[in-house]
Formats: sequence, structure tokens, C-alpha cells
Amino acid sequence: MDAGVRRGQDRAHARPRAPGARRPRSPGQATVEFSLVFVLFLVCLLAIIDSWIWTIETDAADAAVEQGIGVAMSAEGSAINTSPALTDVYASVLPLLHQPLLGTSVEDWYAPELAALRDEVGATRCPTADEVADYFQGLGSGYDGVGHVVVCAVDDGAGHVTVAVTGYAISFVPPGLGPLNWRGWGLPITQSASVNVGTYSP
Amino acid sequence: MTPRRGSRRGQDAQAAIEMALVLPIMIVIVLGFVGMMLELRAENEFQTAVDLAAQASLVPPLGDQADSAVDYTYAFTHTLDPNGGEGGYLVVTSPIDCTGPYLNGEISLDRQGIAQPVTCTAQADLDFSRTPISLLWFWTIHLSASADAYPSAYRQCQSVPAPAPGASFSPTQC
Repeated sequence: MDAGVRRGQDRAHARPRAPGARRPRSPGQATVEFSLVFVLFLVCLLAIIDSWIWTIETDAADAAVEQGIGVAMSAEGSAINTSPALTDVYASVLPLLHQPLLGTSVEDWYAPELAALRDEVGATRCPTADEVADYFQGLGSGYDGVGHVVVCAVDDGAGHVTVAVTGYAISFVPPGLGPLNWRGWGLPITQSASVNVGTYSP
Repeated sequence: MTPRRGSRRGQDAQAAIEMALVLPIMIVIVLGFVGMMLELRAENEFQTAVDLAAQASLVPPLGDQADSAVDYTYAFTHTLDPNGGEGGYLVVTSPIDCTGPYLNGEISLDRQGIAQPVTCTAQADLDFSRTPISLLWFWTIHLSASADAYPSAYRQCQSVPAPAPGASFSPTQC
């Protein structure tokens, strides 16, 4: 006899349940329970992985900013020149950011592609992470503008040089989770430092 | 009560107990890990701010204590998040302070010819009470950072006094 038919006959001859007794636990219920718990477990696991990746990425951005400040506040060209070496920053910090920022592109603030963003933000400050993401979202690059980080170095015109690494790196966790300002599938990277312009002449 | 009904109730109770055990453990693991990552992050950023402050203290000329103080304070406060530091949970309790012979107009060289450093220190507290992390990290974490910056042996004095007649002129002391 076919197994399916036999199960059907068993069900047909089953004793009626006593009043108040619950329906027996079915395999479907177990599957639904498992899927609910598994989703919860997965979200927790991804949140842990994401916070770990975020720490690595922001630490790399922190080191890049520290090195970038050292480069930016040096005189451009000669010891007599007091102009900060702003355009030298990107090349000097790129090796520090390239590997830790998994799958995220690192952009130069002075690249021709970012001319429109520079005009929008102005010459004396660096963009926020949301401004960077909005700009790339406008270009249709990356989901929600995520996946781009800008290395920015500016002179604020009041004797200070600012170096910043801002944008949204790629994340694994869905939006709305975590204690931070998550955007889409991105991890916020906002590291900046600002010092007085100086030269290292004697 | 029939044995079957008792067994069923036992299964329900078992599932509830399992959930009651597993859920807090999962929450503790997630909050513990995220809190630890945020703490490492804050420690790193705080150390960077002190490092940059130490470097900035050497930018003004030798002995220009006032300008050095302005520079290292500016570097420290503008490297930490200007909105209060790391989303408001990093509170500076002891502001940056730098000391060293350079700030007093002197470059003291040791036997190897290395100048005595300028040493900067600062302290802060990490307080997660305004974040969900405080469910687990309910205590205050104290951070302390220190950084040294070494001046060049050849720096210009802020103002070079005229040497007294017959006195020898030292290029490393203002």
C-alpha cells in the first residue's frame, strides 16, 4: 500500500480529541518556529559581524586621518610656502584604506568626478557622510548611495586644515538595526581631524 | 489529566523555558559585542586626538607656550566629534594638557642627541546610559590617553634675546 494512502487512513480512524485538548504538534509548526528563531539568530549574528567590520573600517579611517593631517599641514612645495599640501593627502592615505574598506570605493575629494559635490559643499569644509551618499545616490551609483567613501582635505581659510574620511561603507545588516545612524545597507564612516596650519621650517 | 495532555503541557513549558534562556543570552552576546566594539572605537579615537594634539603642540616656535596651548587644544577638540564625542557617550573629564621643555623654550637633548618630548595627557569617561547598550554596559568606563611628540633639535625661538656681552649663545634655549 502506498505510504500516503496509509497515513490518510490513520488520520480517518484517529480517536476524536478530548474537549480542551490541543492539536498535536505538526511538522509545519516546528518549521515556522525554526524559521522565526533562525531569522532572529541570523540578524544577531550579522549585527555582531557588522559591528566588528565597522570597528575595523573606522579604525582604518582614523589612522588615515591621522596620517593625512601630517601630510596636509606640511608646506606644499617648499618650507617657505605656507599653503597646506591638501592634494597630496589622498595618495598618501589610500594604501591604509584600500584593504580594510571591503568592497567600498575610496574617492579623492579633488577628483574631477566630485566637482559638483565640491561646488555644493564649498571649499572650506568637508562633506558629511549623508552628503556623500546623497551625491552618489543622485549619480545612481550604489544602493542608496552606499559603498563610497571620500578622502577630503580642506583649508577653512581661518588657519585650520581639516582632513576627513566620510561616507557609507557596505554593510550586511538590514536598515534600522544597531545603535548608529544606519542608512540603507551602509555603515557610517565619519572620521575627521582639524589642526592649525603649520610649517616645519626651523 | 491524561498522560498525553501532561506531556503536551511539558513540551510547551520546555519551549518557553528554552526561549527564556536563549533570548537573554543572545541579547547579552549582541550587546556585549557591540559595546566592546564601540569602546575600542572610542579608545582609538581618543588616543588619536591626544596624538594629534601632541604633534600640534610642536608647530609654534620654541617657547611660544600660549600658541602651543591654542594649537594642541584645537587639535584635540576638533579630532573628537565636535557634537560631544562619539554620539555623546564619550565625555572628556580631564581636558588635554601638555608639558615638556620645548614649551618652556628649551630643547633638552639626551645622551643620544634626542630631544626631550612634549607629553600630552587627557582623560574621558564612556557613558552608554543614553544608548540601548546600557542594558548591559551600565557602568562608566574610564579612558586615559597619553602621547609623546619629539621636537627637532633645530627650532626657532619665538623671540631671540640679545646675548649678554661675553655670554655664550645657545641655539637650543630661548
